[in-house]
Amino acid sequence: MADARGTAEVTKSSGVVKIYDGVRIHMLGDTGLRITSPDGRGSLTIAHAACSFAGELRRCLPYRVMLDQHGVKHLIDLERGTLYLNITGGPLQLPHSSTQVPPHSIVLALKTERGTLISVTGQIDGAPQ
Amino acid sequence: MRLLAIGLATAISLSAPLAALAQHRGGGGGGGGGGGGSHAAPARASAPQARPAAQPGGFDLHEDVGAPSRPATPARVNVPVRSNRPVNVTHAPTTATRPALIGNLGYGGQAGNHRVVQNPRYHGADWGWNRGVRWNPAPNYWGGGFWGPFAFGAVAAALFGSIYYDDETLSSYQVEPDSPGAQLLENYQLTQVSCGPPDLVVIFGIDNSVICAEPNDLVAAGEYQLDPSQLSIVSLE
Repeated sequence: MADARGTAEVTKSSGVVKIYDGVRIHMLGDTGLRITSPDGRGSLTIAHAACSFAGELRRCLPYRVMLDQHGVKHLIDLERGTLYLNITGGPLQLPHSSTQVPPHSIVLALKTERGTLISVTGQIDGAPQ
Repeated sequence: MRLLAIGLATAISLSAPLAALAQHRGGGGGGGGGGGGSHAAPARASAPQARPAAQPGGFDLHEDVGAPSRPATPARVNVPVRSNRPVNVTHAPTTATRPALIGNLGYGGQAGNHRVVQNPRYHGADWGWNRGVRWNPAPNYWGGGFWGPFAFGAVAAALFGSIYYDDETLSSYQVEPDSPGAQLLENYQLTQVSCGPPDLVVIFGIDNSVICAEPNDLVAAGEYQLDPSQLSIVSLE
């Protein structure tokens, strides 16, 4: 798990897409998550979410996302989003979908108030802190 | 990984109110700032509008930083505006006088003298139904997300009638499968119906949400308040 990485994709309302391969994904407690950019200079933290289980898959509805970048914290106004967490050792089926979430992995999709779409997939490479 | 991301993002758009996600795929170009290790998709969009200068590195989210100030917690909306979906209400909603809700219920509070209708499936420690993980409502969502991931203002669920009381209208929406609310209804063997007719089970949830169901052997007709910690309901009568 030490070398586990994920991919983040940021799609702006203008249509500009940026893809970040090699983001690091750490869990924070039961429901929190930190996603760190490949260069380590920025991180997105989801610390507040309503989480329940769809089978063994944890589904969270985040409502507060913090961007910590260049030593400054910014609150990102979030419109809506969903985070799926598979903390088991086996693949789990995404509800109402043919897609499986791999073991120790996440699927995250957010839409900000400004219309930016953020999607992240990848393995969790940090144990709950 | 890219293919997986595309597939999963599309899947999420089907199961959560993020249909726009899949629709925005395939754009690209520039963006300013950007971060190490990242790469931009081929250019397509017009130049972004003027925005604060971005420093290199990290995530290119500077358009979302310094957004117009607003409260950290979004303003509550009593009745979410939804439209463009079939409305399956053919009767006039009843006018009900809702008894005062029980304070702190669901977050370690006591029901006092109110009658608790125990969940037939779960007993014992708080949040046991959620594997011991506390469930916190998300204010962006109708009912805090308890009944499903329906964002305020989003067209995501069918209207299931409404209730008037104290000059206020509470709209009810279809409970999403796999939501905590669906689990509650299943545990009590309740089937959701449109709010409005008399003699229904009326469950008041979080953030002025309301769900109605036909009474059964486990739950008599009447008004109840949700206790999310125990995934149970408490009679308000």
